Amino acid sequence: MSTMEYRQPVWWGNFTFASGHGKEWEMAGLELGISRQAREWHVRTLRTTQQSEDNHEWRQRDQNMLEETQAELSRFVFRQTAEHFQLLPRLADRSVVVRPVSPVFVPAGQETTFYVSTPVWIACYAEGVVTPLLDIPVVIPRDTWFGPSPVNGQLCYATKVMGRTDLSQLPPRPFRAVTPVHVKNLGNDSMPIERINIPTPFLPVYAAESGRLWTPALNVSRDAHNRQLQIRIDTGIGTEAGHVTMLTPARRGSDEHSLIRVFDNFFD
Amino acid sequence: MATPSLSPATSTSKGSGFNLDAFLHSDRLGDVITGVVLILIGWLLARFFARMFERSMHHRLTSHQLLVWRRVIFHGIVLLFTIAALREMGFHLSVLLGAAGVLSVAVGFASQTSASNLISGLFLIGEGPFAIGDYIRVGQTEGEVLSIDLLSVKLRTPDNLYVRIPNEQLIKTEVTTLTRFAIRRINLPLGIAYKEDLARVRGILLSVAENNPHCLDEPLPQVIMQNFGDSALNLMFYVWTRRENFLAVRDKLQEDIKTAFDAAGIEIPFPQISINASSDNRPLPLQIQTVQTDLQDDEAGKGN
Repeated sequence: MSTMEYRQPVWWGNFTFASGHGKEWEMAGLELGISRQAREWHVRTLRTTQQSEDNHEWRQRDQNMLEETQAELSRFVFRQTAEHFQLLPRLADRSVVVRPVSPVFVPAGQETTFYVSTPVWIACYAEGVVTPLLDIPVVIPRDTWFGPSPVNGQLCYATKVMGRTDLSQLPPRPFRAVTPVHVKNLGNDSMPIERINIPTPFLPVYAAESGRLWTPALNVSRDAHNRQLQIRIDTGIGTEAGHVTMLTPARRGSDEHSLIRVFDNFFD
Repeated sequence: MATPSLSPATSTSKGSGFNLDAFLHSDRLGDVITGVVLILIGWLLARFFARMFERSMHHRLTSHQLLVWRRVIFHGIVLLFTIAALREMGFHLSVLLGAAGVLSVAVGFASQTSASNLISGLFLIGEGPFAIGDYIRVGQTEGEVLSIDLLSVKLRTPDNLYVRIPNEQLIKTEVTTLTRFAIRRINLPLGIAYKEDLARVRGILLSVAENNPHCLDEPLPQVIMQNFGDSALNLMFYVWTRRENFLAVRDKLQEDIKTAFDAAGIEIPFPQISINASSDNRPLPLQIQTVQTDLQDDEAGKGN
């Protein structure tokens, strides 16, 4: 976790807990309470029945009020707990299929950049433990199937996006990470973009000074002769994000075979 | 040197019977012991190699493939050592195979069912309609496949019963593998009153699916009007979900539909019958008559 100064408060970071004390976060209908005992970390979660992807409100309390409620408790037992605890954003554990609210076409010979955002997960790390104690979505996205038939395809998450091409129109959202998708259509006809499969398990998460979460860009180009798509993940973050710090690495390494499987059906 | 025979039953002094004394002092005893030792060694080696294969390959192969390969290795090694042992004992394999051909006809007639199961088992393993760990339905029986053997398939039912199904039955009847594909469709039949607005009901049902994160966004949920029933408009609500979530989602959807219908005042009608007395569908005429009871008669009598 970097010591970068953010222009607005952010929910992630490194938090200090005295023994016997707790903190609580309320994020878009998810309540998360964390308490430190001498030998245990107690993590409590409580979800409201109606969560919405459009809810971006959050707040933090320096007291864990969830202890008195019916929130689900997970106990993590240590020889001795340390005082530091991290909350970090991660991307989804499956690919996310984004569907523009209205159909989008890229005419022949044109290129553009879409800024699409995908929901983030909260990863809770105790000091000295590499794997997260808890790794849950802020808002549980809907499941979807991405493939030509119910027999062939992959299970993904679904989310709706505006498919904006102007970054300034994209409001910063604390629980979504922005992925620029550069599309170049070298084909002879228009290229419809109805659903885009973002391979989120292969993308790391970065934070910009503004507090916006970013991932590396995806570059998609359509061949002039055949209709094949060439897809590449950028190694870094584009200049449009400004100064950024990496918060969490990708869930999975860029295994070539997996990437090919993911990208075979990048566009529906 | 004269050696006393062990018993009259096992020893013959003349004729063509088995002479244990001569056998014990002949070279054949050594051959038989060698043969038996070979079979034992073969059995131990087969077990060792089959287990070693299973341990080294269990990350790469499915449990079904592991089972098939383990058996091929085990029985292959045992067969090789048995052939070697038989040769060592002095048996001529060509004669044995000829005898086996004649014997197999006799055995085939005697054990038709077992032979049929055996051959069906080989077809099942070859065709692979399901694997160990799959969840299948055969007739009225549903369960997880525990093993696919040469004679039968063993299932564990949801209520934790152990069911053995002969392979012959599996080859002959319809078998449904419920865990073949990653996603499944839930079919929910529904009935709504004739007075309800169908478009409104469709909207409510689709929003119920939309609010459940385990209902797949694609393939799209669908509401299909099935027919005009006796008491209700019969609809079918199709929703897709991951196969692991099938039961939980079906349960939750039905609960949510009831709640949503109650909130919106949508009626789910009971079976009902309208009785008409005339050809022009007018209601049955009803006439209220005052019944004079015995008690009233008595009171009237006292009054007199």
